[in-house]
Amino acid sequence: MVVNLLPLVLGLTAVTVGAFFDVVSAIGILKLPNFFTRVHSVTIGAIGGSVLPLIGVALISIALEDLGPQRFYLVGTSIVGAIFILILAPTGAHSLARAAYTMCQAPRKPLIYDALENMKEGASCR
Amino acid sequence: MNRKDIALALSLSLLVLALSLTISLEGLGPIVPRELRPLGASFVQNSYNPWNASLTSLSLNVVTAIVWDYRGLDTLYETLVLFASIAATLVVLRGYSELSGLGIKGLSDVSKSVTVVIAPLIVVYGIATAIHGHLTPGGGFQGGTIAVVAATLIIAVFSLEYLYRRGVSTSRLMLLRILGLLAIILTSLSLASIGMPSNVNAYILQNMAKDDSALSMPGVLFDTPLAGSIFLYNLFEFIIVFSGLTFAAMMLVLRESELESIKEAAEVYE
Repeated sequence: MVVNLLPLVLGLTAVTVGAFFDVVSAIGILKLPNFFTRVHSVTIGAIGGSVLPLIGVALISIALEDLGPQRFYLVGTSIVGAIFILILAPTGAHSLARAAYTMCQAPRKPLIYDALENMKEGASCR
Repeated sequence: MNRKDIALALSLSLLVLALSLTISLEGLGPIVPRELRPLGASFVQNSYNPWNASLTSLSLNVVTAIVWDYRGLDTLYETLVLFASIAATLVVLRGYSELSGLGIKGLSDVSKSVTVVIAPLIVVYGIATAIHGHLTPGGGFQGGTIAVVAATLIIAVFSLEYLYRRGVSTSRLMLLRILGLLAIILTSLSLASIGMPSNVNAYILQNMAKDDSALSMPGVLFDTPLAGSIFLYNLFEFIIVFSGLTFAAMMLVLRESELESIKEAAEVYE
């Protein structure tokens, strides 16, 4: 029983922290000023709010012995899903932000210093 | 918050309220019937039933058993419809040419390296969905459409020219499609063509042995149910759908200079 308590507590903590990240990300989407910062807040929701709770679900299902051997399928699916989101969500956000930056489709208004603009030709939009 | 936001919020909440009221008042009628009808009961009892060898299809997934065994002819025609519609794309764009050397650009290095990792995984998942169609939900069509996502991703991230360099051309995909369809037709005729010379009774699209026909597709591989022809049909259907939809995706992203020769082809017909 004590052996099961550790993954259970860790898993529940992960799910709770994930819920916190989700709330933070939702507030960020509503409050942040421009597209690039909002993409940042979406990825907070994807990594903190999906990957972490999925790992939490895997830990919880290790602890719940009542589920029988079927629970290891749940563990595997959760971990694989977490890894996929971990790889794919930042890539999607990167592609979105890069496309919006190079095609000048989003205003960069609160920007103070733009290092990319000097590195790449044609990246400045007037 | 302006007037538009308030109207949007109100209409959304009214929509949710209306939907939940409709469902809770059983406006859709009883969704799950209380009793199984005789047809449904016979499907449930016979789709995997080794003790009733003349009616079973040895498929644990009842839907796949119906789709590829009990009404196999219907699914064969569905496959032909897909085949014909992709051929129609080819007819509309006939005379196009595949040019390389128009310049590869693609997306950034991050997207490319992630696609290299993800695309094989998507294809493997599609194949697994297809060849486990008789064990788990899924089947050839579903697996094929999953695998096409990988091809579309590669076209979007690496550009069309990368596919040409890897040897994936539209004519090869067309050949693969035709071979897949041929394999499905040969599978459906196989037991009948084995039975005819040796004067044993057998049927077209037959899967397991029937009362008046002893011939049967392999039902079990080691200790896994194979469901005989259903496994083969799912595999070939995967090939047809994967190559056909990849073909369609490639046709839709042809570059402008590749389409210029269409005019000449059209003039020949005028």
